[in-house]
Amino acid sequence: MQQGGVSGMRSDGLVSRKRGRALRGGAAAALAAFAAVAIVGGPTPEAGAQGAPLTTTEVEEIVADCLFMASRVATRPDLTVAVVDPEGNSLGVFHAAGVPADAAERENRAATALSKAATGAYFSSDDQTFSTRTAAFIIQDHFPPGVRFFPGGPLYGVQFSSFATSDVNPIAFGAPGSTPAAALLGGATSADYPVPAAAEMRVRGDLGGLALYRGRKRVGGLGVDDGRHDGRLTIPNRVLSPDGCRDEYRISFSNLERARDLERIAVAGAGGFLAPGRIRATAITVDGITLPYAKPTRLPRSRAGALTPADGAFDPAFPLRDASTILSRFSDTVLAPPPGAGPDARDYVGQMPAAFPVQAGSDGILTAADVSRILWQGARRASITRGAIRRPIGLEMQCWISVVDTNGEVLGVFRYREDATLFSYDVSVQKARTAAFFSDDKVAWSCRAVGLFSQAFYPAGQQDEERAPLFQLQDGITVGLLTGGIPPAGFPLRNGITVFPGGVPLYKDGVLAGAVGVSGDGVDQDDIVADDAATGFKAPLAIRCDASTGPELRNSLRRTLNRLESLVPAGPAGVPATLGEVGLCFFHERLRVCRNALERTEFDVKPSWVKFPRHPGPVTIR
Amino acid sequence: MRARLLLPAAALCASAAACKHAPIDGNADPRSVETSRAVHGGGKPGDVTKGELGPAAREAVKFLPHGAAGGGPQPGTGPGDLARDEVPVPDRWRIGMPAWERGSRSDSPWDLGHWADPYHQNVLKGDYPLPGTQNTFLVLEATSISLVEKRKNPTPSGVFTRSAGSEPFFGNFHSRTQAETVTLSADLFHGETSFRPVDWRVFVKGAFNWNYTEAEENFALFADPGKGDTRQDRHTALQQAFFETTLASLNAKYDVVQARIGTQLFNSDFRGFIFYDEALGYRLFGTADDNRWQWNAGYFRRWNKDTNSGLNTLRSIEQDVVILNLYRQDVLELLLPRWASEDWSHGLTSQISFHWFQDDPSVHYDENGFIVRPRPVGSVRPNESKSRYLGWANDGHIDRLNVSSALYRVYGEQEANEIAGREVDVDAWMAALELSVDMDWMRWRVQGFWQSGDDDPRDGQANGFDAIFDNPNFAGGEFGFWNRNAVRLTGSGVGLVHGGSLLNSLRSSKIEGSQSFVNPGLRLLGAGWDGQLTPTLKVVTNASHLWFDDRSSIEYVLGQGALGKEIGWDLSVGAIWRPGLTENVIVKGGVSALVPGDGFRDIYTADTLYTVFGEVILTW
Repeated sequence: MQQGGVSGMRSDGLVSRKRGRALRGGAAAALAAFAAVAIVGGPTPEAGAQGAPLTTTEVEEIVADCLFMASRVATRPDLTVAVVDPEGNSLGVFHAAGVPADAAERENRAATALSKAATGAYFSSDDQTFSTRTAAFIIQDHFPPGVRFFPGGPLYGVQFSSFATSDVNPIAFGAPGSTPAAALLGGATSADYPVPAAAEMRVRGDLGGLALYRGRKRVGGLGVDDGRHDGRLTIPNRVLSPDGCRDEYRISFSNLERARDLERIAVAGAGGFLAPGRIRATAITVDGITLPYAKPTRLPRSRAGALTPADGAFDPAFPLRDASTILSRFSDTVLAPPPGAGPDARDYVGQMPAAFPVQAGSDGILTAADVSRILWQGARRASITRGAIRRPIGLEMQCWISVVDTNGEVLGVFRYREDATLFSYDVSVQKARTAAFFSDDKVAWSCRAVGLFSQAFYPAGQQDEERAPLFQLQDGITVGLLTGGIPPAGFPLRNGITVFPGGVPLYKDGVLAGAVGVSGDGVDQDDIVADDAATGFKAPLAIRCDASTGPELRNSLRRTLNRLESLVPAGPAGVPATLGEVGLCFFHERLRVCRNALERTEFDVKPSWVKFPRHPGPVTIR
Repeated sequence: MRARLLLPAAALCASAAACKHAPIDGNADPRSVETSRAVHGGGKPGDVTKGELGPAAREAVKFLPHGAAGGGPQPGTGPGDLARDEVPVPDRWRIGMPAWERGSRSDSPWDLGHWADPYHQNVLKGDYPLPGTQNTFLVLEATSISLVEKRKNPTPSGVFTRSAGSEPFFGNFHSRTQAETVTLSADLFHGETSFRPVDWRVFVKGAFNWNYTEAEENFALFADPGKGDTRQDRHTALQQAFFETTLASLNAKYDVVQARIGTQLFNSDFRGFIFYDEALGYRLFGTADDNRWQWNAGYFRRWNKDTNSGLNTLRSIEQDVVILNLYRQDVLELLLPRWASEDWSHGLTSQISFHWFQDDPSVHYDENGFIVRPRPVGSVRPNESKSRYLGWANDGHIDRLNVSSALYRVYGEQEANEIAGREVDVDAWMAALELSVDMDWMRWRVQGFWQSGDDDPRDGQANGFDAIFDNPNFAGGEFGFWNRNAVRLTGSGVGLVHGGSLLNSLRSSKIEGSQSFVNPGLRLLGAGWDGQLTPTLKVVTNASHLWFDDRSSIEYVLGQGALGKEIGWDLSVGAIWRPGLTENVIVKGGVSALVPGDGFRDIYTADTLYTVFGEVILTW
């Protein structure tokens, strides 16, 4: 219904065309030219074919457009702009001239902007694109947010993944040679107990991040930040207060809109590198709910000029880089079928990270051949499962499949195929480690079941009931332990836990052998792939948590919490003195709350083990 | 002051031979004062001692108003009546008749009755005015509807499952309902029973409902899985309460203009396709040209419904409806005056109508915890909806061919349709046609129905049709599967089709949800056969083939492409048994099944769905 100034083009609903009145002369032409670029996603680029990496000139253009838009939005924020490549490597972080010179402040802003940029890039692929607004939408206590009695979002708690301290896939990478964790720890941000700055460097659900596309191919991510905290979604600066963790620890969704200007700037700055409309989150529904991408943005009527030194400068820790000089962390792999797989078995082409080759379990239970078989079985199911979040409808799903042993060591990772979303790398390992940690020889837990006991409300979404027993245990482990700088050596949950579905434990000869975690598409799709990957190593039905009684579940969770406590040093006796002690204190606080809640919980509703999609197939487009 | 009627003694019992005074009740002699007092009430003991009646009174007590005439002293038994030769009778209705036994007890028209006996004249049934009045009548009615129903309907296994091993999306499809509804109504009016339109009327109807439902999965009945898989609920409601009056009388043929104000039942067309509800209304209606023309003009404000019973609550939904319609009986004699004298030009009634509907944005959760407004689908935001319907309907017969048809076009705007995620303009159609032929005790019927569907759910045009509050009696009515049952669009928060509606509307709930004009639509083609097998037993059969009109909207909502076109075959058999040959006891039963087609199988499973129900309706 919106009649644009450019004939023949449907408005995509993102760039607002509400003003139907005629614009004068040159402004009209400029708007038409600029808007045309914004809508269709860029003219054929001069520099190389579709998907060619961003050049430094293009990065500078994007930064200049962001600054130009910033000067025109009502709040005129002083911006920090970050651009990353598709694998989260920084291509440059730019501080506008008005940004305070304080080093800690700049570090914090750089961390936030990089996290937003990488979140936008990690949550997107060539077949779908999610912005940080989309991420915020799917992690709330109800899905859709604000609707009472509905269970929590499908990726509840994903913002506690891809931490800077992760051994798998931190959210962003700096200049070659720098370690993000060391560069960002320290620096109090308020008078009260601060949150470690590294806690801000993770998947972010704050407005201002999105992926960049050249034509139909993803070429990177863009994130903008203004240093303000009131528009942020999670983890306020003050984590601890004298009376323990506060109820408003998770800021409500309504605060999110305070950063609306940042979203406008990111959309305007992305310009010709915006994703095509047909793969944006608004074309995708989860349980019938349309995912948001970004609210409509009115573009400025003229273009930005080139960057000048007066505009600001790139952060020396994250200088302007040429994307074509960066090597991928992943190499193409062919996964062959295991022996005895049958005559119809075929190879599956994907990627594996150099950091985690296929290996046998450190606990001596799973062999390398077992791991290969599990990965292959998962890829086989993924190849016949329709991608719930990919467009057009009918494409196969793509996902990361990870296997860990009982100590949390990664035994093998397979990316089926080369376009599976990158946030899923860290999350698939998290899922496997979660399933392995919570399960033992008496009760087996899947990530879905752990998640049902970890949301704000139990049963999920029922806000008249009590808090769930494991609520915010995830925060204690990640924000408390990991970013506080004290992940104990060999800690089985060293990149955090996942509280949404996609991981199942593996049992060999009746004994817990590890777990497999799958991430990359809708959670039901992840579940069916994980379940199929575990063929031959499935948990015995009798000990599964959906076949266990209430007391058995309570005892099992008690054992898990005890085990967790035994692996972690005791908290400080008095007031915490260092950042590390703050984190430890926070962790023990959460553990205590969970223990109390566990005793109060009535286990009268049965959790499900895994849930398959309604109709997993067919895959009609290859 | 009306003159009291006086019955001279001589007028009674003109010929002794004609008056046979056989006792009706085995022990009661209607001639005795005690008996008549016992039956009719009234009179004070000691007014008249037995055997001391005057000549007029002695005759008058032989002539008693038949049935149950209600209170008031027995004519002739007043203190001044002893020696009189004329007896005052309270009103002209209560002029008595001689007791006359004509063979079988139930066959006698002059029986004395009981207040609970609706088969004879009864003051509680509006046959006599209330004692002390001349034209004020009261009609009481009570009904009891007892329903037992067993269903097989697609049900997800839910995130919190009932049993281990519930990996597949679909769980156990079976469920069972029992419900009991009791209604009581009182109709007080001033007029002449049913002889002419009333001068004024006050009507009140209350209902009480108890229902019990059992399903086999959590999440099927409550939003909170902790509440389990059985549900029992009760609700008391004021279903109708209105005042009606005649504003003007147009001619001697009882063409009138009337007004009815209050919660009233209104059906805006013949089959209930658009608006059939008990809503608060301000309605003018009337007839003209010896009842050839009938018209309605009304404004309605709907009440919110109780979720599990469907009865009214005392909360108003912010929904305003304005309805204008005009009926013309024997329309063919008007349109084709050349053939006005032919038989076939009589018998078809035609109607044109205009509905205007506005639904303000609101947020509402139903009693089971599910959000119904706005719909939990697409972009969830409160939505304002305005729609206008133009309609043309027909009902009746042309010669031997029975015709029932309807054609509607709706246009309007929705500020934020959830599935479209934006403002939409509405432009949709609905058409229905039923042709049947009666042969002796059989009726052969064919039917077709079309609800337009939306071909692009995300654009600014909403082309799917939705009604205001429909309750159609079509394509099998309450016996058909698609009309009777609700099928949820599993994998989303909305329903595909709702109970008591044929429309694939994608509403969250028919009774509590708001309009949705982005939906797949419906095409239906079918046939049926009805037969009055015996005077007491009628059988209704129906077979319809159903298709989606356009699957784009459900493909978007479900994220699943290339859905098939067919919904399947709707097959049903029902029976209505009236053991007493009256409408007081009706027993209904039915079996209906849906054999899925490729489109239905793509969304659900290949299982054949069914419903079996039995219902006993008692009316007094």
